[in-house]
This record gives sequence, C-alpha cells and structure tokens, in this order.
Amino acid sequence: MTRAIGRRLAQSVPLLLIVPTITFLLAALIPGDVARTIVGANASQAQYEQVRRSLGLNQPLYARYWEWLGQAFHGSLGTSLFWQQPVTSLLNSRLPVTLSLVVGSTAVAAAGGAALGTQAALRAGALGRLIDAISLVGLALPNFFLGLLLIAWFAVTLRLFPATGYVSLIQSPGGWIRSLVLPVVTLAVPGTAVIAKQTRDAMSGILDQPFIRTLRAAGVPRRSIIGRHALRNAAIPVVTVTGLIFVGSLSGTVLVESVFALPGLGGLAVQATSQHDLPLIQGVAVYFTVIVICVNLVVDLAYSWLDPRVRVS
Amino acid sequence: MTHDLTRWLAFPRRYSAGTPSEPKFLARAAPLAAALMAASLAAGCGGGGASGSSAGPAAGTLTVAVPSAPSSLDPATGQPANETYYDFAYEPLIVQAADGSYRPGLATSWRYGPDNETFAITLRSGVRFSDGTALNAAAVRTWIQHEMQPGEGGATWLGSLKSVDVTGPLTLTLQFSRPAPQLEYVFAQTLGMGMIGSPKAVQAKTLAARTAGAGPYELDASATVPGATYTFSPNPYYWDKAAVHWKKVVLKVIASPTAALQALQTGQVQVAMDQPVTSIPAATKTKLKYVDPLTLLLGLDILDRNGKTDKPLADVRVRQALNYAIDRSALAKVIGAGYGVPIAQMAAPGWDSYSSALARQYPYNPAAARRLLAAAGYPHGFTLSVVSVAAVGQNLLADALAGQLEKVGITMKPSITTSVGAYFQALTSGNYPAATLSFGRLPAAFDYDQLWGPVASFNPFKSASPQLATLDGQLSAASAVQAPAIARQMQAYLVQQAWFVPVVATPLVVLYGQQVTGVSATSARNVVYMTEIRPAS
Repeated sequence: MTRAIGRRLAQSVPLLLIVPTITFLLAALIPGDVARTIVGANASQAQYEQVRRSLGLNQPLYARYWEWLGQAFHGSLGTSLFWQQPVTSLLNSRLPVTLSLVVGSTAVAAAGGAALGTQAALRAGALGRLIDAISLVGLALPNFFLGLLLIAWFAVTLRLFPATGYVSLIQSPGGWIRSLVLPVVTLAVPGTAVIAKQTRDAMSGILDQPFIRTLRAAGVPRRSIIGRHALRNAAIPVVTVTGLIFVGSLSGTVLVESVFALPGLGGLAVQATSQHDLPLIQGVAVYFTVIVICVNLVVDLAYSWLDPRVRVS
Repeated sequence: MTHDLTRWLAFPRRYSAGTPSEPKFLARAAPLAAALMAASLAAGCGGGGASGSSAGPAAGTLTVAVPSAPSSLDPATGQPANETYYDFAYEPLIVQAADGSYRPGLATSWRYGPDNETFAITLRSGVRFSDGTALNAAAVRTWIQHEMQPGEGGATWLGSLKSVDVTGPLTLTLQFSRPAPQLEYVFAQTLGMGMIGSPKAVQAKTLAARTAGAGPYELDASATVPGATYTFSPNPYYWDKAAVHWKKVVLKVIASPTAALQALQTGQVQVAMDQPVTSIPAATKTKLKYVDPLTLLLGLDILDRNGKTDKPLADVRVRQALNYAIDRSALAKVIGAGYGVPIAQMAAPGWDSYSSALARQYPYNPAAARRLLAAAGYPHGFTLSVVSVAAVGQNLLADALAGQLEKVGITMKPSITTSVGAYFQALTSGNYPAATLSFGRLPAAFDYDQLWGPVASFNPFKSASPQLATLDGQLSAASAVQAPAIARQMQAYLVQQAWFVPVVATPLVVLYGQQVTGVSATSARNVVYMTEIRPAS
C-alpha cells in the first residue's frame, strides 16, 4: 500500500510542474503589470520605471520563470511582488479558511446528498419526486445568489449568523462554526444536488440487482441489505463524484469568499491576478494543485476500501 | 455535470421492491446535524466580542470595512488612496480639519518663506514613536529623505526639494529650488507625506509590514492577515491619551459593496469606507448614516491634442464639438445614480479651482457640435479610439459617450481593459488618442503636474501650452488667498481649448452606523480622517 501511494505521488510530480508553468504563461499574457498597481495614478513615468526595475520586471519572462523554478525547487515560492511578503506565509494565513470552507461544504454535500439520494431511491411517490425537485433546484441555483439570500434571511433579518467574515477555530470554536455555516451551505447546495442524484441512480441500480433479491430471500435484515450491501456498492461512483465536487468547490470559493468577505485563497487568487502578482498567482496554483493531488489520492484509497476488487497497486 | 443531469431527468427511477428502513448512518446523521446547528446557535446566543459575531463588536472596538488593501503599510511608499490604513498609526505634522483649515499635529507651527521656496517647521516636544524612539528634527529629516528615495511618493509631491536643514532639536527648514505650493496639504494626512515614521524602523526597513508611527495606535501584527484584516491597538507612547477613543481598531477588507453594506446592517462593522452611491438608498432604509463629498470627476481625456494619431483632434473646433455633443445632465443621473453633478470643467463645486462662471459652458447642443465639425472639415464625423477600464464607472461612461457621440456622427470605439494596470499601460502607450478618466480631488496647485502638464501621466503626448505653464508658475508662488483666482484662469483656458470632456462629479460614500460619530467629510476636505471617529455615546 505504501509503495502504491508513493507511486501515485511520484506520478503527480509532473502535474506540479505543468500547472504552474501554464499558469505562469497565462498570467504573463494579462496586459499591465504590478508596478503600475503599486505606484498608482499619481506617479510619474520615472517612478513607475524605478519600481519596475526594483521588482525585476525588466528581466525577460524566461529569466523570471527560471528564477521562480529554482526557488521552488529549494522549497520557496518566492516573494509577493505586491505585498512584498513571502508567498508561503500569505498562503498559509489563508489556507485554513479555504480548507474549512471546502472540506465543510464537501462533507455537508456528501452527507446530505447521500441521505437525500438514498431516500429518493427507497421511497416511492411524492417524497421521491419532492427530493428530485429539491435537488434540481439546488443544482440550478447560482451559489452567489443563494449566498445573498441566506445572508438577507439568516444574517440581516434573523441575526442568527454573521453576514461576513471568518473566525479562526483557535480564536473561538463556536464563532468558527457560526462564521462557516452560511458559506458552507451556499457552497454545498449544488454538490448536494449532484451527489443526491448520483446516489439515487446508483442505489436504484444496485437495488435491482439479483444479489439483493438473494439477500432478501435469505432473510438478511432490510437495514443490513441497504447499509452494508447496497449503499457500499453504490458508493464508488458517489465517491468519484464527491472527489470532483471537492475539486470544483475550490473554484467555487472565489465567489463565495467574495460574497461572505472571507479571507481565503480564492479571494487571494483574484487579488493576485488583478494585481499581476505572478509569484503569488504561481503560489496559489501550486497550493491548489497539491490539494487536488491529495484529494485524488484519498479517492483512490477510498475505492480500495469500498471495493476489495480494486487495488491501489 | 450536464451528463449526470440528463441521466437524472431521463431515468427518474425509484426503489419499489419493499420499503426497507434507513441505513444506520442516516439515522445518526440527523442528530449530528442538529447538534452542530444547536452548537452554532448556542455560540451565537453567547454574543461575545469576536469580530464574526452578529451581536456586534465588544465595546471599545471600532471595525471598519475597507474595499481594498495597500501594498505597503509605509505611508511613504503607499498611495494616498490608502490613507485609512495610515491614519491610525501615523499622526501627520499638520492636521487638516473637516472645514479645510489646518491645525497642529506633530508640528506645533510652520511658516512659508519668500516666494514659497522655504518652509520652516517647529515640532511638538515629548513625542515618541510606537517603538519608543523620540521625535525630533533629525527624525523628520530621515523620514523626508526616505520619502525622496527613487520610486517613493516624495518625488511626486516634493519634487523641487533641495535640502532639509535641521536648525534645532525640534526645528527644521525645507529649501526648494522653485516655489513649492500647498505644503500644509502635503504634510497633512491625505497624502501621507507628513505621517512621520520612526527613523529606527526606516533604517531597519520594516515599515512595509509593521507600523512605527507617532499616532494613537500601532499595528498588532499577530492579529493581522495581510490583505484581509488589519488590527490596531493603542500606542503606549502616544502623546495625547484623550484622543485614543478605541481599545482596538480592526480594518476588514470587504471588496464587495453588498457584503460591506450587510456587514454594516448586522453591526459587524461600524463604518464602511468608499462605497458606491448606489448603496445609499438601501443604507438609509436601515437607518445608517452617510457622508458623500464630491470626490471623483469622470470624463474624457483627449490625449492627442496635436492630432498625431487622430488628426481631427488637433482642431479646437472638433474638441469643442465633442463637448457640445454630450448630454451631461442625463449622464450625471445614470452614472451618478442620482447623486452626481454635471460638470463642464475639471473641478467640482466646492473645489478651489471651481469656477461658477464656467458651469454653463458647453450645454448639450448636438446641432452646434455638427456645425463645428463641419466647419473643421469633418461634416460626417470621424472615428475616435478610446481606452477605458472596467472600474469606477469608467466603462459605463465609455458606453454612454459612444452612444451620444454617434448622434453627431462621431464613431467612438471604446477598448475596455479589465485592470487598472492594463488601462495605464494603454493610456501611457501613445497608441490611444483619448481615454476615459476618473480622478480624485487635489489642490489646484498639483493639477498641472498630475493631469495636464507635460510631465503628467495623463498627458502621454506631452501637450504643452505656454499660457498654462505661466499660470502654473504663478499658482506655485501664490499665497493661499491668491491661488484660487489663478486656478480658475487655468480652468478657463482648458475649457476654451477643450483639452478634456468633463462629464460628471460623483461622490465617494462613507457609510456608518449609529454607534459612531465624527465621520466627517466636506467639500473642503473630502476624505474622512479616521482618528476623528469616536463612540457615539
């Protein structure tokens, strides 16, 4: 198992090179530069040129990329051109926010989606259709709009949750939960709908299988049939979708962090792009790539746990 | 996702072989979710002083929403637009009051010499920076030298500075190579030049990330996340303890105006800086207050006044035609959301260079515009490329201008950039004959170098006029009493020559809750001085 994990991680190394390289090239194509953002409208051309030189922006693109790559191999992601602070320190200060948001929303989506999907597969009639309809609405609703609605109801009108901001877990566990409830729900709704649909389809297929009839004929308790046999078999496609939803949520954080004014990586990525801060953009790309690699690994491990026929090796 | 959705819609299947009971995990999930919800609500009932609490901050905490974060906390390197971040930690030499008058800050007195070429300053005694270093004349000299480094702000505002002479422990004299106007303004809070930092911190080069000023507060770096949250605590060395109104100050970066308004409505923040005018109706419905000084001018900057890339623009009649073709009142309503003021000069009512005599120049008159175009030899109009940016309403202005100019035969082709950096790159490239423009208020004495003089960034074709240069020289050497009349002459020349197509002056709004007072901005000082904000009771 350890060797298999090692091999998977080794296979991910090219991804860590390819993604930042593509990001670097794309970001370099954006017109404008960070020096103008720093000096502002009132600065003279001479001041602007001075800042460009001090930031090394007068060097050719390949030289700047080569320098960044060299630093990355030594474990440093460089210094943010705009903030003039180490990229890793900027990213680390925001990582907990994004991870709390993405892990929380994926967990809520997985639990809620599996519950709804199972119910929809098991129950006949109006309840099943109602669950289908709710899932469809969840899928169709843009999450920024949902976020604004949730804020209007639960923060502005009912004052149950804060409208904006993030409280760290260390600062206040209760505050941490409260600051995350609305953004997590906002981000989780589309994922819940997808997982519910996937679970329902998978469960319906499994429940029609001959082995389920055999189990029932053998007198295996209904609860055991659903929980131990049907749901476990149906879980593989659901796990795949959950992994995809986790990865998709990373991009979803950009809007949700903006709506709830959360200081996360998504908002930082937007800032860095508008400020033409290449090292910071690269840093965000590296962090997101590592997260995606880790999620894929977890999904692979989950496959082998759920289905003994699947071996990570 | 689309594939899954299709499958879902196409095969609405359900399990009909019996109704088995729910699996165990489902039965357990509901209580767990309920417990989490209860825990979170219980935490909410506790109120508390956490910044995320909807019950409002703890007494003694001022939380302010700010739309963007500065690249540096050093007032010498930062832009004036980030004054909010500097006000708390850095007291200026001179404080500009809301009525526009100047009062002592770290300097107790100041005096211009002949022809505005010297400026003597006397400092307050017994003042210390937040790192414990004493304020003296040598510290101010170190600071000004720091500001004059290449790339720093000093070159913009103190460009003709020749020397800084320390004449005593608390006295110094600045010598200039040519008249230096408006030094009270330069050393007041708005530009950051007079916000003196500790010489020790200047040498250590720590000011970008940590404050070391002589203001009422200092940055709490341990509670600060760059670009997101900036926390300040009282400066133990501050000379005027009575002026420290808060136990803690938190600046939260909230880029979305909607989020800022909601944070204000729920009491998470007490003040929201630099909000759009469109937030005013919703804010007043929930009993929030606001100040809305006219801050931004929007218009068209005709860059190529000699017709180098777009020949028609060399003819003053064509530039005047552009001015006649614009229905400013209609645009003011749209772009200013009902709070804008139409303008035909490069100043707004209340500014020192504003001339009421010019207020009715260029009334909307498409017929006059067509006549002028025909007289200039362009009866069928011409094509005008304009660079703009999707920010501060400039893109809206560009689209609206294109529609109005089309009515007199001018085909305006706007290129909308998505970032300010790209906009400036295009504007200064010399490839565009015109650009939409938005700029904030400055004393008239700076307008020449900033906007229309040959060295201005907004004048990439280096248009020059001997008359403007003469007026600028007179303005620089003028006293505060003489200056407005000269500035108005400059405006009259620009309006007559139609170098610009000014359109609308719009306010930049500061919203605030009932819990605070002292949020003041007027036509004389259109920026809120943050340390004036205090608890309402």
